Amino acid sequence: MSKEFLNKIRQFRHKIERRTTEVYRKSCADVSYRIADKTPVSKGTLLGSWSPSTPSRSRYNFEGGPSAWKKGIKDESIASANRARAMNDLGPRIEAVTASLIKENPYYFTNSVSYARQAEYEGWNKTGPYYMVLRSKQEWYAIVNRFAKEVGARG
Amino acid sequence: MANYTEINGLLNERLAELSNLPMWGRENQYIEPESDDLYLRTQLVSAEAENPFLGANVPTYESGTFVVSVYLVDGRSWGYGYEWVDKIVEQFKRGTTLTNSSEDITVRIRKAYPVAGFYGDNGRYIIPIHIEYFSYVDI
Repeated sequence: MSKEFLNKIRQFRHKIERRTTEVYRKSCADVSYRIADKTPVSKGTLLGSWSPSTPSRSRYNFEGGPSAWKKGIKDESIASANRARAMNDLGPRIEAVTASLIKENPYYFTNSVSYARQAEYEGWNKTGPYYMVLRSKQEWYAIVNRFAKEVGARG
Repeated sequence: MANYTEINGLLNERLAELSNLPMWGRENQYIEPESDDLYLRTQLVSAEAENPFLGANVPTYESGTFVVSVYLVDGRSWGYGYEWVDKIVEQFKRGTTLTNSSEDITVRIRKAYPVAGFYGDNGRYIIPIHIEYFSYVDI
């Protein structure tokens, strides 16, 4: 085999690996933001405590702001401010971890707040369940397809 | 044509075929279980519909998860709760086909499995079961 042919094969392999990694990173970042978007916020503790990590699980404790619930009524302006504060903390962590992902390693997006499962499957009296992880997981194949097409379209 | 009534109906009917079912709260149904009652709650969590194939008249791919949560009795052995988990997973085992011929719709079960249990706000230990389904629905 000629050296030129082997070089082309090598370049092709590198290109595929680079693109696969890019799709993996973008998909993991996107699904993390989708879970975050669906996470309910009062203080923002649950939202800010999502922990993106690789190659092993990690914990992150975020201290939220004042409760948005006052006498059974939710103050959306407080919730909105708490959401923004939590996302200011979480967003850069998602970006940093997903930017360093390699396709051989798993990506974790975990939450160790005690009522995380309550929010996912039960919710509370006035809310019902949020299914933030389940609903985002159902969107996974569409997310990967979208980024694969986007990255592949560059030619 | 929306088909969520038929899909939810078929999944609910399949669960209802089990004998001696415990108390069961369907969506938007209020129940008052006693403290020594094991009970179930169900909810349809449908995914976004997709049209994966080319063409204007191709079927729509509908998928989603039918969530059955088993609420155990406080202090009673885990085994009693998992008996119901096993019965429900078996009832919806992979490859199960649910058909409503009058509506021309078939729902297929992709897989059914319990996820990790947890204590809910009301003190009950809850084991959710994910039942993943899909269906091709005419436009």
